[in-house]
Amino acid sequence: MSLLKTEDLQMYFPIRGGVLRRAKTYVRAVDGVSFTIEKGETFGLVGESGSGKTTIGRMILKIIQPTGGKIYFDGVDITKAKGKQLKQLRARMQMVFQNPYSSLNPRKTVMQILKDPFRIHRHLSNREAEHRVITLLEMVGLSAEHAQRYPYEFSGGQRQRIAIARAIALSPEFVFFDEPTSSLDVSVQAQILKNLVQLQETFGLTCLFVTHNIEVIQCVADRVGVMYLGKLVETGTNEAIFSNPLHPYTKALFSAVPDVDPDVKKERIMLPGEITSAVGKLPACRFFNRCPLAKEGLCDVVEPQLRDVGKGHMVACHMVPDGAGLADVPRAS
Amino acid sequence: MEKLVEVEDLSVSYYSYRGVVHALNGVSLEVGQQETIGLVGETGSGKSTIGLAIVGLIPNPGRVDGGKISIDGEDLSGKSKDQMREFRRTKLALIFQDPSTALNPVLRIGDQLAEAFAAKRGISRKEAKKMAVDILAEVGISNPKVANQYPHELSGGMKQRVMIGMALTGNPELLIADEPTSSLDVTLQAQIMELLADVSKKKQMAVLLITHNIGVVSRYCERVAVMYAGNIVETGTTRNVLKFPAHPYTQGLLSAVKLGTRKQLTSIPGTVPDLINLIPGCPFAPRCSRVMDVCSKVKPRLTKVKDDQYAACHLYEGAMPA
Repeated sequence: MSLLKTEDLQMYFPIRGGVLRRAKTYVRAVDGVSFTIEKGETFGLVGESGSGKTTIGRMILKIIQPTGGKIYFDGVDITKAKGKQLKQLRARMQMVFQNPYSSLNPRKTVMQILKDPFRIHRHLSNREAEHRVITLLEMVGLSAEHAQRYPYEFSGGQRQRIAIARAIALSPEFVFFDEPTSSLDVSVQAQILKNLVQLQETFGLTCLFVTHNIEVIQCVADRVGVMYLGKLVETGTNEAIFSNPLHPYTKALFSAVPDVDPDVKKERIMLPGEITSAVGKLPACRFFNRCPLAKEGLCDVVEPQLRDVGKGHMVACHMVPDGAGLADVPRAS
Repeated sequence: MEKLVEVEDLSVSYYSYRGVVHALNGVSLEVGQQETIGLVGETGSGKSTIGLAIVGLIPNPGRVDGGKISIDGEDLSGKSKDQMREFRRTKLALIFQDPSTALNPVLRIGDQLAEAFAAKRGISRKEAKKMAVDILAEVGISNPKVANQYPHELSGGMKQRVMIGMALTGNPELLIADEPTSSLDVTLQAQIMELLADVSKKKQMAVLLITHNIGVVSRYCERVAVMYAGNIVETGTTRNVLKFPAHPYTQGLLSAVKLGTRKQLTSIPGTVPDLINLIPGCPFAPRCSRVMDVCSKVKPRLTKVKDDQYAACHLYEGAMPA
């Protein structure tokens, strides 16, 4: 059963100008994105800077209000949730931010930071809450002695552990991870991911995992969505996307990541130019200007819609034939 | 291969208020003519400090405590500030991670490049301006109007192209590129790395590529040196080091980078050591899975493991003398 569902989600940020501060034009950060996340599943969103992946997560967590579309959480439309309903939701969905240096209050001890969720949502006694905090710290690989320290006394990896502890404090059903390891060194990244995978299995967490690091997504995600300029261009199971990438952008993105093994010679697809700005008028297919397969009179006129090309592998591209998904390597159980 | 840069037993410390940070502890490194060598390591391993030491720009409160650096056979240690400046002008160039802080925000792109040309080649401003437009074309910016724009009008990828152009104004023999693509998206990273590989070949430059991205090293470098806590722990041809890592740290680093599937996730336990209170012996010993008694007593030296591959680890000492 799906825990989370977005329908035609849309976020247009206005660019204001003139004396009356009227919206002159819009940044179309997210433009009609629909996906579902099943219970206990990790859905990974990849894409480059400015593709809208973080904005999606922020809308789901109700940090920003979408300009269009619907978000269903556990079957209930939460798009307009506020007040008491929103507070209850907040206990059920949490977030881990990219930068652990700015997401922890520098003036509070770890104990105070981690006690907050219990104080606000659970009305526990002080002793009970402190007890829970210690358990939490141990779950993320820290110990009781760390509780009275301040964030500045910790390394980046340890801070991210504290942020994760805070996110799982209330046993939420859904956690949004926004580039949780991109500010960390690789050896620490592996430690944190290991811890995350462990916690996820213990709690049966449903996750939205956003990153630009393709290896990380391949490691943690059950299903993957690839974003380009506010649009979802391809979705499928981890195995489908990585064994048989179909959208020309996905192919180019994967080919741009150099392999660690010097003997692996990847086919390299060089994309000309850079990601276009999401301001103002855009071509029907957002990837039209840089696409090696682009067909004039089609791709710049008719917007490609996500469609199933076999085995649930969805692609938004006119040039990918039906049935292309049948070549996917099946999902290992 | 002719040697271009020779770093011998280099030690650099930063004299901070918290104590003396031993950033480099006896590092030796060679860069051949026209060679592209990768310097990898995690934050604080000292890779940027090596680059800065080579160009003689260790910032305060840092000091070179010992060792020798020579370029083209010329010892740099006795050089005055002016001599070093002259040396940099003719032989060296540097590219930094963040191009938006490396460019002057109030000067037009063309003027900045022209200024560099005029200073480095002693030509007139007018000539220099023309050369600025040419160099932009050479780094893939064919639109001459860009010369009249300011840095903030350009994207990150474009700015890094300008930085590469800037580095080329003096026809350097050695280009030190410090994390040149770390602030860029992967498709841009590929573009910039291809450009770097291209111009270094055309201009016959050696490149010291400082990065934490092992994939980039694998694709673009002939040789690689792996750093840990101010030491080079392994060096050799890229293929040897990445295919058959000898040092336990390199092995751990590579498996941490490869990630694989959830079940394959492996990590190096513990954290990097404190560079103020150095421990005796091997700096990796507290995290090493193959630690022996000797490791906490004697610091291992780089030892030959096989042809074109050296590791600083007691596992290999005595096994095969260098």
